[in-house]
Amino acid sequence: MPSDIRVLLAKPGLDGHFRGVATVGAALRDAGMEVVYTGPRQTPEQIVAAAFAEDVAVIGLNIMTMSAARVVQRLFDLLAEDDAEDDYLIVVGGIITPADVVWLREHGVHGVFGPGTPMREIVEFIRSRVGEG
Amino acid sequence: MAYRNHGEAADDGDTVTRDGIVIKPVYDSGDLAGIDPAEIARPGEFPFTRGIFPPEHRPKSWRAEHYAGFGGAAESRERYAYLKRMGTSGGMSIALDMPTQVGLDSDHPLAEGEVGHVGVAIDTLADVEELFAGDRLDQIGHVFCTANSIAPIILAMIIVAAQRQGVSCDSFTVQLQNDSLKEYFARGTQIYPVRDALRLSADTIEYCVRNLPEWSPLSISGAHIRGAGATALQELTYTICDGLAYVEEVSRRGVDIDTLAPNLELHFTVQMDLFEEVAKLRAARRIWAKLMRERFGASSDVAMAAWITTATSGVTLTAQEPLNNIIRTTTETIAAILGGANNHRVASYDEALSIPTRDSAKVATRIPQILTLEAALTSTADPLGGSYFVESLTSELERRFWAEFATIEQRGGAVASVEDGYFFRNIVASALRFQEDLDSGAVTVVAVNRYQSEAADDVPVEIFESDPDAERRQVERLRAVKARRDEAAVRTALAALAEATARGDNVVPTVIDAVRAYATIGEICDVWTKQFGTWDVAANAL
Repeated sequence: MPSDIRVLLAKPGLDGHFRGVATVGAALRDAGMEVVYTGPRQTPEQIVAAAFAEDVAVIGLNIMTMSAARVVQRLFDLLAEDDAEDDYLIVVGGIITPADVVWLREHGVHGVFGPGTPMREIVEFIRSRVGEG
Repeated sequence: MAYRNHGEAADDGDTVTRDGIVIKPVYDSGDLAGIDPAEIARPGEFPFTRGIFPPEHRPKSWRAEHYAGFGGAAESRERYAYLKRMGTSGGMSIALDMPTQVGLDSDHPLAEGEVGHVGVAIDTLADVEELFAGDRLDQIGHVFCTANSIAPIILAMIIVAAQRQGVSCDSFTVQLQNDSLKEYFARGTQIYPVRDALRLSADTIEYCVRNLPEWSPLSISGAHIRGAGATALQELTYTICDGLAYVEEVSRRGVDIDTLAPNLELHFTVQMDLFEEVAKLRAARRIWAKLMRERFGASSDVAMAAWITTATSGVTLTAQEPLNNIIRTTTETIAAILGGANNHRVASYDEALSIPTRDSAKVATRIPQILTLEAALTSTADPLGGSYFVESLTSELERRFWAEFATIEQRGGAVASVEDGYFFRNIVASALRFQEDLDSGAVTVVAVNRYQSEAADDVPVEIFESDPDAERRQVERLRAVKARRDEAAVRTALAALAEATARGDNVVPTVIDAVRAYATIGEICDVWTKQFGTWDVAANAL
């Protein structure tokens, strides 16, 4: 079931843990999506530039060690500078405090996936929102 | 062979561990037939399978320290004091924030949002002086710090802080993690190319062994390897191979193995398969002892006997029904005790959600206290020694270790296997297999993929709220230190460090001078990245 859904997986901040982003990336690829991984230690500026350059439909952020709200606010500000804030499905995963989960949902992040989320839930979420290409 | 738990046991009752080891429904004396009794000599005797202390020298109490740190030095100090009042042993166990660990000052653009977030922020000597501004270092007694890529700098800061307090470095002990190799494929705070990081780690070890013989300059860490997705056997194998790389490098500089090895420790995690963990710790001691004796020619018992620190696993903590994690960390702590760990750290039940609150940290300190003082788990050494099952599993893990060890040796050892991503790829593959088993239900994690409750039913737990103002205060603190220091002295010290680094001298003496002049961690790391360059991102491509 190949599809044309292109996903950018990004690790903002300085954390280098990769188990979460690696498993999500593999699950999305298994589901036929094209996954571009930025590697760790990315600034919001680098992530937005990668999203533009790679022509992705989805931006997935893996956040483990920093305030998710702060990163996402910056990301949205940068997207807005190019009138691109509505162009992407934005999903976030990692260690996110409950307060940040509420903030992310209220501020336009489409999906927040914490520890223990089944991979199929993430795959189905992206597929249902982005469709087949 | 694929993982199979008791619920899906084969017709013959066999189950299979994550490493593909078949576990029979029962073990008997026949399973001990192939095991040389010398392999399970009394505790304190080679190869130390049953523990490193002879019965007459067993410590009276089990050591359980508690790892902590957040915000600035003053806030962290308050938490350490609280934990000490709760009865933790092992002195001050310091978690560093991410910018500090990767060599960035708190005012670096990449540090924004991370200062003091998952550990304490250290920029200059002034922060370390503040950390130790309550109790003096000799009163604290022991300091542990997860400094890896920046280990020589933290070492230097503690030495100078002690000098400023007028405290002799012989009157307290310091342990640094200083295991830079595992950062590249497990923990992620690498800065320089692999071989340059190994050199800085070896400089730190060599300096301590020659000048501060009671300190512990290396904790060879498997816990993060396991946390990144490795199996128990991969954790065991890669950790020991990493350890050999440091021992080889420091031995090459002329340090005697009987002087070096007693100052090293192995650091493993303990996960939920209790008997596998017990067997892993027992096998680790046996393998390490053989390697120290046969490969490096160690002759003293203390050089062959591996001191082991364990930590409960972050992987097994769940965000769902977080109070269940108390049961998990308790089970893992039982495994650590029965496996003969010498020192142990317990994670708090809320760590899949945030860093610990005061209350969750308190519960974590209670677990080893209750297990040792109420449940009497430490009354005799190696209580599972001689068990048909545990001895069999210990020997099987050892057998599989030597097979994989031979492969790694052929590929050029740990350094080559870190550089070319061999360890990294194998760990990622294990992590993916685990996730598949979790998604298919082959692996059970209660309340995550089985017996789930509605989110609304979840017992709410208090979540640690980091102080949003801590970053601004730390940046101001850094600027104030820079404003009042002698800029010329800093430049001179950094130039001397650059020269020593280029000459191939041990860097620690010149780092001490730089730190004393209040050079920042970022400035010191810049000296090194200018000479070494930075690590190769491609090795961690997914």
